[in-house]
Amino acid sequence: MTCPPSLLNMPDVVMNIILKKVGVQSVQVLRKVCRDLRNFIEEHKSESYIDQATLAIDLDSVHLGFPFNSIVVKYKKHEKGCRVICQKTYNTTEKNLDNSDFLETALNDFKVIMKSQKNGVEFFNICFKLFTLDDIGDQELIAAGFREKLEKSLQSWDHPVPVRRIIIGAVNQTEVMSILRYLDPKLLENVEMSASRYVDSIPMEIDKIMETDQWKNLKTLKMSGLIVLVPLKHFSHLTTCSIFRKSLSGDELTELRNTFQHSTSLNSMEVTYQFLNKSDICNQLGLPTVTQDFLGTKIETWEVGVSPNTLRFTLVPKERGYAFIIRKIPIQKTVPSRIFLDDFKIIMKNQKSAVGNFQVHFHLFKDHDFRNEELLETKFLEMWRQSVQQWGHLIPVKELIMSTVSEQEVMSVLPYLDSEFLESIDMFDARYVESFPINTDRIIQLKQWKNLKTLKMNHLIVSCPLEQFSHFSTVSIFRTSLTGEELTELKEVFAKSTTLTSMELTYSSINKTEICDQFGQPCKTHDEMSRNIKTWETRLPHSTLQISLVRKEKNYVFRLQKYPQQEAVKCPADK
Amino acid sequence: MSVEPEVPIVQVEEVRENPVLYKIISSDNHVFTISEHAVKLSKTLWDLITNLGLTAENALDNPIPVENVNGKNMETIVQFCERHKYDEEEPEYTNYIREFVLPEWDRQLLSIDNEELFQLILATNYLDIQKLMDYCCRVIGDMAKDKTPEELRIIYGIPTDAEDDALERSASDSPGPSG
Repeated sequence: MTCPPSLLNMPDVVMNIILKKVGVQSVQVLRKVCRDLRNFIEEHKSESYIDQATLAIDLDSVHLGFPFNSIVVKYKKHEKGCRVICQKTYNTTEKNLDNSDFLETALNDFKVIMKSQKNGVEFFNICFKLFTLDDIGDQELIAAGFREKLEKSLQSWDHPVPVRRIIIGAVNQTEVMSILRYLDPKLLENVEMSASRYVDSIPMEIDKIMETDQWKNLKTLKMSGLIVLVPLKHFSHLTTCSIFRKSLSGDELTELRNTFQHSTSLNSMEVTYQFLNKSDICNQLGLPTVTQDFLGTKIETWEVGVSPNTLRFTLVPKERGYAFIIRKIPIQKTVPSRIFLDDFKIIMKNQKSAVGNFQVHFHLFKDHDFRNEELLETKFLEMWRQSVQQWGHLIPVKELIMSTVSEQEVMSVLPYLDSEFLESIDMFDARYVESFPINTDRIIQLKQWKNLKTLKMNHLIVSCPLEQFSHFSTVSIFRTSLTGEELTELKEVFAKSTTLTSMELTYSSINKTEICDQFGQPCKTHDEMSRNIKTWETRLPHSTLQISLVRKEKNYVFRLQKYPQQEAVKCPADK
Repeated sequence: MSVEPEVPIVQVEEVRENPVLYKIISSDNHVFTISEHAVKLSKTLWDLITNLGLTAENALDNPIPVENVNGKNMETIVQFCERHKYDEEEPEYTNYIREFVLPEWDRQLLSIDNEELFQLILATNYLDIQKLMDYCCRVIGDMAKDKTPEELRIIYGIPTDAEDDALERSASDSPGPSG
């Protein structure tokens, strides 16, 4: 007699594929369906994929969490035994297990679920929250009891716990060891530890931890709120490391530098100190470069060349202490901007005629890391300058379009452009929302500036005397306020200049009476967008100056246009 | 007002189609025609075709008998293979629960009762069609999602251990052929 096909009489290969695809959660349910299925599952240990797991141990409960489908199982101490509460996205089920210990039940379930996990769990969080306000003295005793049960359970596993990254909330070495040594050293790469029961940083010994294989194979270590006192050389096998220490003295700094110098793997280290001796640091590293992040926090940076690398030390205040960050930066290694600069040089090498329009945009702007923005920029500009200086010729460009916010940026481009070709510059501010003042002292000294014909500076407020613009033919700039003096200055510039034909000035404030005093009553018209325009006309030797004023958003646009005498356009109101 | 004639959608398959067709005969003597690209999805069939040395010229004259698969399942399989013949290889999923979603067309195709589904799985396993196997197992898996053991027992038609024991007992109690 042939049975109709059903799950139970599937070939093993098929069964294995099905079990792999139904997911860990359903496998656990299927285990309970019947003996045959359970035997099959136990025997074949079909591979499961758990990528995150949480085990939070409280005094009277354990949370076991597997974030796929957001399942949390809570094992609570109950007068008769253990109460199991399973929370899923939409429903909660509860069950009492008489005469069973909540911790043992939780650990056993954890073991069963993890049984067929072969790949490393990407993210495993274990936290000893053992915390009571009533009887503080007992706490460590209780903790010891928990630890023993945990260890007993982990010892009974037939394979090491497969975890790639573990987050341990604990307060002492014994607690950390009670889990760490059962993890698969071949898989474990990343350990994060933090003090789970105390607010203040507490010292922790790590001598036993350092002897384990797990420690030796680690790549990343993060210890927060746990102060370590061991020599720093013990961290040299890591790539990234973040630890807490007592105080940063001259000796400590030497030790730090030596650790970096002798380590081939260490890339960055963040050490949080409670105290520091500033003069010791400056004695060794010299004076720092001081910058600020967007919150105004002071950041001090030192750089020391340690062949073939540069070590960058950054000091920032952090809560009640200081974070001292050391980064290894390879000097010789080709960085993307270096490749770009070389390529650019090659492309431009044989360019003899002028490039019609050359655009430079500085987007040195990262949402998440304001701290390094300026440093990055300074470094890049430095590289750029070095590269361009080696060209042996100036960059032939007719029109420069540049988004910039500082004189430094302009000065790193403009002097390298061929002044014989450069006729026009269009600059604007692309980084800040409001118009932003820019210093032009050094720019206006440049030969390139003096040969310019057209200038446009958008949202960059200049404050240099207006006569600096008299050699242009067309100018568009932003200024702060239009006063009587400014008007006189403008008139003089137009009267004297032989080249200037039009100028557009955007002011954030104006003095209307002063304008009327100088030019008389305006005539009023509308433009195509029906904005009010006030116009004036005034005579200059051999020419007429037509002036208009329009409101534009928060600003006023003041436009001056020079016409030769005979072609003067009459204001319509005059007719 | 002239109604614009409906523009027929140019079928990509027709353009790309290499018109080599094969004939397959199911266990209940139904004959199916399948294109070369589609038949390649079945490792068993493609191995057979290469071993038999079938070519574009003689393919239709030499139908391939498949004894283990009936016409109903073969129809589903041919439909599936024709549909997916130009699919690109899918990435290896590490977490089926989260990453894998069964396409609507396939869900429709596989909306059949359990017994048929398991039969199809057996046929798929025999013909070694990786993708269809994945999809079928996925359907089985979806059935099991968020169910209690009791519900699963009903869904999969599995007797309880107690029933099982009773069945075995009655089987051993009844006189055997020799008794």
